[in-house]
Amino acid sequence: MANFFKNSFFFILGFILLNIIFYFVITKPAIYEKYIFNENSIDDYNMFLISDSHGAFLRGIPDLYDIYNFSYSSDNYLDMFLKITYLSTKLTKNDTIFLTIDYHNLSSYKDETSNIKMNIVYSNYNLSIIDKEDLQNYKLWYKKYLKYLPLLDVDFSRFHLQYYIPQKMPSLGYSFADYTESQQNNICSRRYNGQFLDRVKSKRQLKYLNKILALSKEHDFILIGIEFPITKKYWQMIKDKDFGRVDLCGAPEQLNKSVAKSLCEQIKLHNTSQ
Amino acid sequence: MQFNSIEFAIFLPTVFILYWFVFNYNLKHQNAFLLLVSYIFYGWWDWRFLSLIIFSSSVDYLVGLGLGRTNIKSKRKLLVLTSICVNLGFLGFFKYFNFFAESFSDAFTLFGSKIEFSRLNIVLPVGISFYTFQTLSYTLDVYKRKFKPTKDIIAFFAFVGFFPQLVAGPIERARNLLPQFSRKRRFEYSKAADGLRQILWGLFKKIVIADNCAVYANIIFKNYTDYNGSTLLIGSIIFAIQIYCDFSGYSDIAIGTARLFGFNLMRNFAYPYFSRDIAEFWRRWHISLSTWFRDYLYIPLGGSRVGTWLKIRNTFIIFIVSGFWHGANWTFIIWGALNAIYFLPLLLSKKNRIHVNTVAEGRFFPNIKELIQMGSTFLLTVLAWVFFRAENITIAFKYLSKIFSASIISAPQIFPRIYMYILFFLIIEWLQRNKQHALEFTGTKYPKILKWAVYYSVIIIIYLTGNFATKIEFIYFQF
Repeated sequence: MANFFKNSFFFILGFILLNIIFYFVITKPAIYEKYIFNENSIDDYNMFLISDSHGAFLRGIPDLYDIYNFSYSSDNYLDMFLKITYLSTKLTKNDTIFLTIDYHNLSSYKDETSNIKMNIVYSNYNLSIIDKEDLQNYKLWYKKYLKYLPLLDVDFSRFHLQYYIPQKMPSLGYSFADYTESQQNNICSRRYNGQFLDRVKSKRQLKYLNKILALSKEHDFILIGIEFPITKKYWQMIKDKDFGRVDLCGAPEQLNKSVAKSLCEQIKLHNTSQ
Repeated sequence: MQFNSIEFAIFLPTVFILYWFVFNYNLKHQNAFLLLVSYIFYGWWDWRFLSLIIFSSSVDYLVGLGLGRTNIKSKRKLLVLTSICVNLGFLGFFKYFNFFAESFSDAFTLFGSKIEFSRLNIVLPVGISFYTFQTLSYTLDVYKRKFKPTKDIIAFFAFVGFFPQLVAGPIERARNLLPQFSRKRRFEYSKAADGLRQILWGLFKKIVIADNCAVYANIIFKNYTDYNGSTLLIGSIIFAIQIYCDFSGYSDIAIGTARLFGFNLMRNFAYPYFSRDIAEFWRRWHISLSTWFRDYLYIPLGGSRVGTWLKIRNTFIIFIVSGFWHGANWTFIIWGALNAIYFLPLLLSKKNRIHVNTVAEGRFFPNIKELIQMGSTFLLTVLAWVFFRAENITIAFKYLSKIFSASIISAPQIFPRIYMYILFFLIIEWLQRNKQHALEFTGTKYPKILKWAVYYSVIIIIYLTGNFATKIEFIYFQF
């Protein structure tokens, strides 16, 4: 037994050492200095795009148009609020934030999707800015203690591989245009029913959207709402339900490259006309 | 409480320390402590269902005592029937009531009359199929006088509720596990260290392989109409790997955890996808359930020592019942029947025991014949898994018909990173196929630093490549 505990002790000691090395060699440069907090480059920007996957598909294009893309798949307004809280410590008056505002993001479907376990880092682990009732499903109290023990904080794990060995987006490798018409209809119908049909606005999402508006007002940021484009088929379904949307692209509701570029041009145009 | 959760990471070391340092001076106290923590472990899901385990354990404990006190045949029969009725009654009610109600309703509709059965809104208690079979094995063995009934109520309750294998097996036999509660456990360094290695490998299988496969298997099976034949074939292969790593990963963690407490649980998987025929596959897949059905159903029915027709009947019975054990759905019954059809030619031609040794024993690579045998066996199991995974029979047939369509020769629509993980995993398993688990170092004299480097590497691989984003329960919890 003594031998077992001696070996366990040294194994755990080695594990802690491994964590510290891992933090300084891999996690810090990849995650804290680049992937999550791109401190240096953030200071170079005065325009930011904050959205869920709809905006994440614009990655790679922002360099062209001076927009820092802060979007991530499955982010909801609580996540976006945390990001804007972080930006509020960095930005100056009249900096611009392009924010996704649409039925999809206000739907109660969004209450079930969140990256708060990762995005809490943007609040410097200050849980008090989030209402207690919205934290019920998450255990976040221990997160700040795990900064130097990254191998125990599994919420950041996937970023490492994505940063060092990026996987092409979309990861499933299909193109919407490759599908037959009936398959396209099926996909649209499935996603529409799952993510847009709920006309009841989420009180929680609305609350954090309002917090974003208040925060932006307080710091005098220019906040511009964006309705992300969707396919014709998708649009028709939504139009039938009197949502009223603009059709721009060929992918179901995510942006393909050409439409992403076109959207950036519109944003640029909007910006220069200001 | 899930094995791959923060809660369990705190629970296990705490229980381990209290078990060996506080309660180790008295066997009764140690057993009582194990019983208490096992109930806490189970109650973490839903404490209300603890009453079922306690009731089931109480009935079988009393039946066991009754069987030990009487030699009157009719009384013994009545006692064992009580145990069977209570245990299978619970299982039938919680797991199969809605299925039978709907099937009867459908059957009456076929004959023109309409009968409305109201569906019960029942939650299936986690692990009910596992602990029910475990406790039944006790009464059946006592009834057959293969095992003496125990008077130690704490030991018996701890045997039924032993937390490492309570919710998803291995389904232990009383004659293997119960005596281990009656003798003083000694801490063995090599056993505990190997237990930890087995837990680590189990976590790798679950988090890296199974949970990553789950993402793609779920997408492909859910949207099967959107994909071509080759992608659907890949989807079913990915599911085959997922279910193996998910379930055998759980078994590895369960067996490894039990070893930390000085217990030996039976092996549940023995590299089944390296089998050369279906008979060998079933000797290597979910061994604790296969042998349960063999001992308590197949052999009492006459086994294979009967005429040809009875052999066929017995084979179909155990495979179909085994399929039905997994869930109240016709898909599981078809899955079982399909495996019976695969198995029967081997049984009837008496070739069901020609592959009892490890494949390519003493060699590094298999020969061409073995490779073809393993490939074809794997493919047969993959096609059967389609029924196991599909939501209903119609979808399963549509899925299979798309696999066997012209689109099988078109390029797959999905190229995930998971292929590399699966390849890496299969190579490691192949190299270690003679061992109990792939991280076993027994009989080797590698320096400690090298072994530790392997453990740290596995931890880093789990961290970097594991799927922590999606919370995926162990598949067999639903059974």
